Parts: sequence; C-alpha cells; structure tokens
Amino acid sequence: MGIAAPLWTALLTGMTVPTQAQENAPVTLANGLRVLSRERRATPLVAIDLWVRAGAREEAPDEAGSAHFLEHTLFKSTPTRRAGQADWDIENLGGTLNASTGPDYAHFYVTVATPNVSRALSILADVIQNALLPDAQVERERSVILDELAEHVADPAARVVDLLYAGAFPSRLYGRSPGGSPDAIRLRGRDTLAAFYRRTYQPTRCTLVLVGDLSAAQARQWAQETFGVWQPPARPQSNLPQPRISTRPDAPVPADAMVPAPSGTTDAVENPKPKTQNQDSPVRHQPVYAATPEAAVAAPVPLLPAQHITLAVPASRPALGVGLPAPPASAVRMTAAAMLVGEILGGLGRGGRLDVSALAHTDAQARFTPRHDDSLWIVTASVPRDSSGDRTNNTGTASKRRALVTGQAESNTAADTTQHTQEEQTRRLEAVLRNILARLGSSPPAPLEMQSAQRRLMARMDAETETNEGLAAAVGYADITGGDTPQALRQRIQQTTPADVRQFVTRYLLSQTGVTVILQTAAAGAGPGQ
Amino acid sequence: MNMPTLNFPARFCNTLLFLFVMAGAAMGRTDAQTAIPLPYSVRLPDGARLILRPEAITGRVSISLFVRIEPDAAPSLKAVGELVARALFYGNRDRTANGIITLATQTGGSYDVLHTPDYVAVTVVAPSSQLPEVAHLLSDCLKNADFAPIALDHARTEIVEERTRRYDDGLMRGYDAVCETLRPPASSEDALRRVTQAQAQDYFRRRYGPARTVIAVAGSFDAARVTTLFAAFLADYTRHTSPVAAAQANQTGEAVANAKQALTAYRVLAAPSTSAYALAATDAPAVTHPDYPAFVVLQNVLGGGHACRLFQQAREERGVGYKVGALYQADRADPLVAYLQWDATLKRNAADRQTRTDAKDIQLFLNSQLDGLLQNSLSEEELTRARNFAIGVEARRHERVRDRSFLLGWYEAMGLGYVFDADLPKRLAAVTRDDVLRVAKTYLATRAGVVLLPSR
Repeated sequence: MGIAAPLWTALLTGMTVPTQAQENAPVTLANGLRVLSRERRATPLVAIDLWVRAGAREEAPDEAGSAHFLEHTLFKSTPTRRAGQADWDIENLGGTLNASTGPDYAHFYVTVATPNVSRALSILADVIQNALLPDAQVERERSVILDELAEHVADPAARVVDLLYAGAFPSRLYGRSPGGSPDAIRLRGRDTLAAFYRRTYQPTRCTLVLVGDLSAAQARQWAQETFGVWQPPARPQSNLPQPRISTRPDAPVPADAMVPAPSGTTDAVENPKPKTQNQDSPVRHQPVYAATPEAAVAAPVPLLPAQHITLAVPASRPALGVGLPAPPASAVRMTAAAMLVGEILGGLGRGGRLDVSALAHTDAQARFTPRHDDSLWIVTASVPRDSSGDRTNNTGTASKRRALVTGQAESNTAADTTQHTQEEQTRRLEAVLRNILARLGSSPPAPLEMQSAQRRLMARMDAETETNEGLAAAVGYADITGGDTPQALRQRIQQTTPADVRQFVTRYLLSQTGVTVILQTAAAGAGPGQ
Repeated sequence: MNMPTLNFPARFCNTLLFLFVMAGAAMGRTDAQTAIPLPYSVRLPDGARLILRPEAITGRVSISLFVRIEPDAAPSLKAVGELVARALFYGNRDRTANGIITLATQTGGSYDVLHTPDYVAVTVVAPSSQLPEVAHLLSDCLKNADFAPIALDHARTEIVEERTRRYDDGLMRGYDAVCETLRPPASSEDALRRVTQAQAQDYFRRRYGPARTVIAVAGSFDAARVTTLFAAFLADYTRHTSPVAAAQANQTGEAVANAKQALTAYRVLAAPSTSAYALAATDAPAVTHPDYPAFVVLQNVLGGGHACRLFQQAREERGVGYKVGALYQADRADPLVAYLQWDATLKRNAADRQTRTDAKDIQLFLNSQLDGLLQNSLSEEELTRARNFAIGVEARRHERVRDRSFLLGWYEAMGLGYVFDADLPKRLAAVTRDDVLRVAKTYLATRAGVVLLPSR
C-alpha cells in the first residue's frame, strides 16, 4: 500500500489545529491490558508504544539477561511471519519498530501515518503475543547482543552508571545492568527465555500508549481489535512472587479495594506493601496504599553502602560518577524536587551552577531518572583534556579553570597522567561537586535561579515530548514506574518551592556519602588532531 | 524594490513593508481546507530572504538563520571560516559574549550552530514571547559581530571539546576519519589557534552579507510583526558579497579524482575501546543535484531501517554486529557512509567451530553489499519498502519545530527554494528501480574505508 499520497498531502496542508495533547481517560480492556491515549492533531502521525512489566527486575537469579535477550528475540518470527518480516511490514508502512529494556520494563515503539495505525498495531500484536523464539535465531541474536554489550561498556558514561547502581544495590535487582552481563547472555538458553516470556508477557502486565492523530474512541477500538483478543494464562507460570503493580493516581479505584485511598491525596507512598494478585477475581490492577505527602516524606530514605569503586578502562579521559539515594517515582513531590535540583546544577552548557563552577568544561551533568523502587541521583564528570594549546594566552580563561579543577599547573602536558594523578584529579572533581551540593543545602536557591531552572526544565520536557513518540514514551514510563503523568509533572514542577529543593538536598543528597565511581584511563592516549 | 534607508520616516517604511507582506501572503499558497497559510517567502529590503511558516502551536518559535558560503580550499582559510561560524554569536560591539546562549538557555530554549562546506546555520528555539529579543540578537550579530579574542577563545574551546567528544566515540571517530578520506580534512587545532581577530573580521565582511542570508521562522508567531522586526533590525545590513557558486554535483569534489577506484584495502586506526568498527564511504550527490531523491532511496535500500540489506545480511543472517546501517547526511555535505560495529574479541559459531570475526571478513562484507547494488540486483519489493520508509522518515523529520524551520531554510539557502520541502515526498515516491541502479553506478564505485580495532 502506498503511503506517499496521504503523507505528502498532509505535509502540504500544514498545521490545522493547536498541538496541545488532549489527555483521555485510561481504559482497561477485558483481558487487563491498559490503554492510554493522547489526542494531538499537529501531524498526521500516531505513535504506538507498548510497555511491558518484563524488565530486568523480573528476572530470577538464573534468568539474568533474559529481559534484554527476549526483547531482541521477539521480533524474529511468529507462525505467520518469518525472521525479519515484522520489520519489513512495518517499514513498508513508513515506520521503524524499535525496542528497549530497562530495569522496570520492556518497551516497544513505532510511529506511522494515521491510515496505517491499525495495520501497525496488528503487526506489533503478532510479535508480542506469538513469538516463536527459534533456536537458530536465538543463537544468532546472542552474538548480536554481545556486540551490543561491547559497545555499551565502551561508553564511559554508561559504564559509570552501571557501576553506580551495582555499588548502590549489590544484593537487589536494580544492581544488575538491564542489558545483562556478557557471561549471563552466554548462559541463557532458549527454554529460559521461553519461560520468562510466558510468565511476563501477559496483557495484565502491559500498557499500550497511543499518541497523535486519533480520538479516544479510535484508540480503544484499535487496541481492542488487535490486543483485545490476547488472553492471559489461567495460572501463573512460576512460583516467583508476583510483582507489585501500581495504579496511576488518576486511575479509578475499584469499589472493593482492599485499601481505600484517603481523600484529597495525590501522592503514592514511597514503599508500598506488595500485593499478590488474586487469580480468581476479575482481572484488574490492584491499588497500592496511598498516603499523604507528609507521610511520604517521613518514610525512611534508603541506606546506601558507602562505596568507592575504581576501575581502569580504555578511555581518553578519567571519569567520575557520584550516586546518591533518591526517591522512587511514586514520591512525586520529592521526585519533582530531585529533577529541579538537577536543573539548578545544570551542566553541559545548559546554564546552572555546574557551568559557572570549576566543573565547567568537565562535561559534568546531573542525571535523575526515577524508577519504580530504588532510584539514584547521579552526577558524572570527566577530567578535562589537557590540550597543548592551553599553554597559549588565547585560552587563558579555560586553562585557568582546568588548573583549578585538576590541580595541575597550566603548563603541564598530557604526558603527566599517572593513575595516582588521575585519582587526585577525580577526587578534586568530587570535592568541588560536594561543595556545590553543600551550598545548595545550606541556603535555598534564590527566586530568580529557581524560576530559571523551572523554565529550563519545563522547556526541556516540552522538547522531549514535542514528538508523538516522545510524549508516548513519557506517558508510558510514568505509568510503568508509578510517577506523575507529563502534564501532572509539569504542574508539580511549577509548584515546587525553594524549601522543597532544600528538603530534598538535605534529606537525600547530604545525608549519606553514597557511591563514588572513578574510571581511570588504562593507557594515556593522544586526542584528535595530534 | 528599493527601500528607503533608516533616515526615512519609520512609519512610512513600516506601512510599505506591511503592504508588501500582505501582498506576499496573498500570493502565497494556502490550503482551502485550513485557515493557516503554507510557508511563504518575503524578501527584506536589504536583500535577505525571510521564509515564514506560522503555525497554531503553543508558545514556541524556531528561527533558523542561514548564511550561504563556499568551501574554503586553503587550510588556513578553512580554520578562519570555522571559527567565524562558531564565534558569530559570541558577542559584538554592543553585547557581551554568550548573549544568545544565555537568552536561549535561561528562558528554556535551545541553540545550535552548524558549519558545513556550503553554509553556516544557527537555529534558536525559544518561547514565542522572546522572539523579538532573539530576532534582535541574531540581527545584531549578523551586522556587528567583532570576533573579540574572548569570543574566538570560546569558539575554539567549543570546537575542540566537540571534536574530543566525537573522537572518544568509536563510531564517530571512524565516521570522521572515513569522511576525510573523500573530502578535505578539518582544520587542525594549530590552525585554529593562529586565527586572529583581524582575519576573522575580514572573512566575515567578505562572506556574510544579505544576498547570502536566509532566515526561516516556524512556530507560533505573528508573521507581519516578524517581518517588520527583521526588516527594521536588518535595515543597515548592507554588506556586499559576491554570489556563491552552485553546490558541486557531488559531495566529494577533488578527492573523488584521487579515489576513482573500488576499495581494496581499509585504513586501520585504533579504536577508543574494545569495540571494533568498519566504515566505507562512497561518493554522493549534493542535495541540489537531480539524483538526490534516488540516492536517498538507495541509501535506505542499503542501510535504512531494520529491513535494509546491511541489517538483514549482517545481523539476521550472520549474527554479526549491533550498530549497522548507512548514513547519508546531505545537509552536512557528507558522503554515504556504510558502517558496522562488532566485538572483535568474540568467538562466534561458524559451521562446526567458533572463530573470531576478522576485520577482513567485515571489509569484504561491506564491499559485497555495495557491489550488489552495482550489479543490478534490486527487487521491486525492496524498492517499495525503501521508498515508503524514506517517505516515513521525512514525515517524522517534520515533527519538531526546529527541524521544520531548518529544512525550509536549508532548501532555500541552497537554491532549491523552500517549496522543495513539500515536494520531496512526491519526488521520493516517483523514484524508479532504474533510477536507483543508475545512481548506484554513478556514485558507489568511488569508495574509501577505515576499520577501527581495539589495541591488543
């Protein structure tokens, strides 16, 4: 079917209506699959996002790596599609079928023109519901995943984040990299993948998000036609504890809920008690305890083991990562404060305290992605590259700043990069960072700084959700992790006060030393242009 | 149309401009089914062109400012051009450095500079309420950039840091290395350091003028007001510049003459980590060449999406490679680059034994995929998928307001006219099998390759 005609016609006609997304009420199909939709008519495109509670956290110890492995292998073939056919069919509709795996989820997504949505949904439904996982294809994909992991560990920033989580949560599920380790991937067999698939890929564990040129009624109809026929298994396939399933605060609470939510609350408790799903009752999402914001704040902060991890890797510059405890996604007030603190610090030229500190030119940035349970608030930085050009007056300002951070005289050359020196350099970066955090904790940000950070953060969120795919991802991620919807988060950020910021910093960032990771260069290498 | 100078009463100028704009709007295309005009063009009094696409989106506007330049052959001049492009908005006689960056970031906007052999482009996305300030800043810098030492220093640092980031990424390191094989290399850090303020100012005065300037605006704004603003702000932007020659028929220019042979050996470089990469670059048409749409389809046959040849043959059939595909960044005047990343230390199953995937195997594989297109091998099904996929990519490329303004400005600056943006999907849909095979023969025979291997 040709897609050119409707697409280029739509491009010619341009915009017709405002592009604010209309948030529709969530729908749960009879088989338990949850459907969220946002109507946004700016372009004749629809983003299709499927979020499955089949992330790395669902893996038993002898299943490590299965979530990621399965995400790769699902596309291979179904009873009606040979290997590669699903990709071919989707791309013939003008889209690309992509996927990712995280600690809390497996995520599948594609964007297509409006006339092709139903067909794209049926292709995705086939892949998700009917994957065959043939042995030969599993073996080929094993090599591909190992190639991917080689690329992943080659990225110092990704390596730092993995090590921070491993150090912070050594005996808990978030301590494992969602991609799996090479050793784990080598060990996983087809039968293990199939068992994981049967257990975790069920409609009750899925949220389908549709964003773009469609109405709520169309979203429901298409979801029903393609995913509504999917039946959950009669009994659980393993004796593993059932995962916690949290509802969104705006979802209707069943009349026979075991724990009624206090009226007027908007926050879910930080550490909800787990609930087992009653297999004999109608399929539904079980509610979690709801608590007042004050109760949420009073819940204990997770205690991280104070750790210092040093590793030598092939890289051009030493890198530093500091991980401190942070609230889970459901603690929405503190999560918003955590995000704002990240923006107040800024980094990478975004404007913020890092950019005007001795950490400028270190690629320093604060990162915070709230997870369903254990989150980390992270800052990463790299020791500035010591270019020989810094000896000239033309780069006086930059080299002075580097010298302050690295403790090196301006005339030092790249040859002076022993591991002892690298340790000193990264320790200095850490000291500067902790000093910045201490100042933030002792006095809240000024109103102007606060407003600027709020504006920047909301603008960044707007940019990330400008595409239908970006908005669908934000909606789906919030649903999976129990956080605010993008719209609610926006409001909450606007309502966050300097006192909230200070409370977050003192409660989470200054209460512990956290985990520190230092990546040293295994060999001092030349840079570009030398 | 000769417009009065600043000495003329401003009200008369504004009235004339308003009438001019309204006439332009009336002549512009509109869709009978909507109240929103399609993009249209206005020529400002100074000669610069304004492309306007007002949209009913909430609160944001994107301004893409293009200055058409020509490639600089001499390395020293190339360094001057690179610094001038980067330092253009880092201060002028009236403002301190980082004025626009501060404005963009503090108000939650974004700011990007792109310097290619064909143009310099800066794209600012900002809240609509900030549009007058952004327009004033951009205009001020276009007229009065003075390239003070601190501005040059800032630009130099940014260039070096960006190159370092790319060098630290294996795929980008290989990409830059293989592109340099088919076109003049980037200026060295030494050359950048030697650029003086006087050199920068001289280059700027000779190359940056209204005849070469295109400003594209997309988003939520009042078109008449934007036109009035830019006309007023650029009223004394009267620098005379020589016309720019049409873009070369192919991307790679002189280097093509030195590389007119099928690739037999890849240059070996050190990988920054344990991952290995192989990249092959081929000649490619400029966006202004009639072969452009067919070449876009060819790129997608070869390396676009997961059903492309490279992905299917490498990952699906052989189980080799994670990042694999083909890039064709015509907006950067880059060649076509086919690439594959793999773990060179991994032993894979091959028949009855496990063996490491040799770099030579990967080189042969990439060559065979390029050769396949030279040998008339292309089914109608493959062609249809690649065409539909390319059209889908174009549609998704228009989701962001910054891309909408960029594309309009790019096509206009390159001489295609902003209407090419709406025409391109039609042209892609019209590409035939013969077109693809013809451009394959024209461009793919000229190749260069690099392979990056981890040190043992």
